[in-house]
Amino acid sequence: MDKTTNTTSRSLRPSTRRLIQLYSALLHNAYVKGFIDGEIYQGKAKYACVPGLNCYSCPAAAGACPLGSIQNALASTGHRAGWYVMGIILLFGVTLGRTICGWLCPFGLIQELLHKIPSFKLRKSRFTRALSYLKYVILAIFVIAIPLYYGLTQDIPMPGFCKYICPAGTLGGAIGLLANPHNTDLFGMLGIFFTRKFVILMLITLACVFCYRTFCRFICPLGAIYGLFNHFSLTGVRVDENCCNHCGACVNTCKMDVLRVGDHECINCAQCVDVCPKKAITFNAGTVVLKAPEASFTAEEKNDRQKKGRLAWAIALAVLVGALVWFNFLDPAAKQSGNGGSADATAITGYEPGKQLEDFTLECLDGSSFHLADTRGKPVFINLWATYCTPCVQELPYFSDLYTQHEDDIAMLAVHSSVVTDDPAEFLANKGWAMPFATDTSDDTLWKIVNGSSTLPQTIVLDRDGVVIYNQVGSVTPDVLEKLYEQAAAPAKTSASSEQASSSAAN
Amino acid sequence: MNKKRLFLIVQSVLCVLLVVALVASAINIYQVGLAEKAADPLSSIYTREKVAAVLLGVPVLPLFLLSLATTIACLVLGIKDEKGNKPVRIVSAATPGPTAVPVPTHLALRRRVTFALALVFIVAGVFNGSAMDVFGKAIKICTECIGLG
Repeated sequence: MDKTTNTTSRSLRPSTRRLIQLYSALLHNAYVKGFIDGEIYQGKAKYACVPGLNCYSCPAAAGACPLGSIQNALASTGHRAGWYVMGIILLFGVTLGRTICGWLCPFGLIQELLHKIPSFKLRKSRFTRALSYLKYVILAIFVIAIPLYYGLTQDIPMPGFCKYICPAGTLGGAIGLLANPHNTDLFGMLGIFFTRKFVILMLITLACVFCYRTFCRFICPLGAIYGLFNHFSLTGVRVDENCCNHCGACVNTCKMDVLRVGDHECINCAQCVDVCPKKAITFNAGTVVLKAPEASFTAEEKNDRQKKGRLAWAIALAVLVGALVWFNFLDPAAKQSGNGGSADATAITGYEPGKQLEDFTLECLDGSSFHLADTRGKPVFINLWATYCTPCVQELPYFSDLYTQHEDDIAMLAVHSSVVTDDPAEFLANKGWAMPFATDTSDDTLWKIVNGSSTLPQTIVLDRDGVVIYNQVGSVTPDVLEKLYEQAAAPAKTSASSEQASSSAAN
Repeated sequence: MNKKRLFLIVQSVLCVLLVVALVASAINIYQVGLAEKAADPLSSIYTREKVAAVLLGVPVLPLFLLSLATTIACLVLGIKDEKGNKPVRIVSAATPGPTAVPVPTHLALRRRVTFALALVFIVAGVFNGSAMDVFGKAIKICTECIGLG
């Protein structure tokens, strides 16, 4: 029994790599407050890409996802080259290579923990090796071809991998946001996209239980990109060919589909260092040996390495604590955020269905002025959008059609977010959309009045008396718009229509 | 059949059943919700109540708890698939070629050039506005991109 207990406690004790993975996952998601508020971090740190696959719509994400960023950059090729994100990926590639997958990627950690669930495990074979090339096909089609095609031909920012596959986005972004009680209204927009991506997430989760790092080995395009740098990256596993007897113990122990130590499939986890009978393998960062067989060090060297290791952990923990304090309490973006924006229930004005929307005036892109008070007597549609938001751009033609159809009896305004990456006027120049457009110069104006959040798109509908009957984030279809128009245009006094629409929205 | 094998079979089946139950529930909610939406375009396909009913109801919750209990039992008893993750065909000493990827020629030069190129790209990106593209995309939730719809 003692023997069993010892074995169990040994197997449950986290390795240094596992601790670093946990540390990295926390650092990637240092904005813990996001889980409480149900809002994502909007501070300046999101200018920087994180090395691992970590959705930037995860409530806790402190940085931008490199894979999402590169798709967005490729989709914007018609406007400007995405030098910035390409530079960042080159930098990560040449310094760390696939060490990122093995030591830093939060989704890699999740996959490894899932694989810890005791079950039958799939053995690696020629089949799994062949399947490992699938991620290059996915990279070519979903990360490069789809964003480029839609960006260049239709001017629509289409992140193919995020939209159709990415399980990290579904788990961290969608489910992370939906789990928060503040975000009940997000359920209203779930449909076929969510169902499809949820099924993909579940299948990958199940596969990870039976097959080590399924997503990483066969699907992840970010791993495919980093793999291209693996043979010359600064950090990685190295073999001293003079000591090596080619016994194959390293390759046989490896859980990834490697043929050679350090090839494009190697995630530099350094587990092979411990199994090499000739002590020929080390894990290095440039000339610094990060991991080597214990026997290759003298007692003095071991002592020295232990001291340096303790110092490194102390610095790392200080950095983590600093990051947690900064992101959650000191960062100006964290201070501004919070989902406490719910209106006073007794107030007459507000953004919630049944309330009169506060008056505002916005300068339109065509030079005219939109004054809400002037629209009394007409149904009013306000749409919040951005050039870099795929569903926003896709639904704008529906608004334009509705506006054209009821031009004499409708007021409409499409308002671009205050975060501008492309000039909206230039973007709209050849689109031929009929309704007036404006840009919110500061999130304190219209955005605040209608309770605009970090989620796009958002549609607000007012009836003829200026009372809100609909205020929801998410895409709308022509059917929904027509139904909303019918309700907003109903001649009866507000209460009936607003209550009906608000109850539908609440459902 | 020994105890170890039985535990692994039970746990494997439970994992599959749990995922099948979750997937089937999601598809069922979608199909029912779609029919409701056809009648009223403003109604929601998914609601918090429908999802909670699935997660806290039969068969998802019992399967999850059973799977959790089996996992803990396996961990305590030290049960795992010993052959798991080992290659089907063991690499022998006779495997031709080097064990490691050959060190590329001009390794240091290649690293320095790539590193310099990376820095040049980043600086160019800051000036041409592509850094703003990254920021703009990262601070707004694109609902379709994360599967919300």
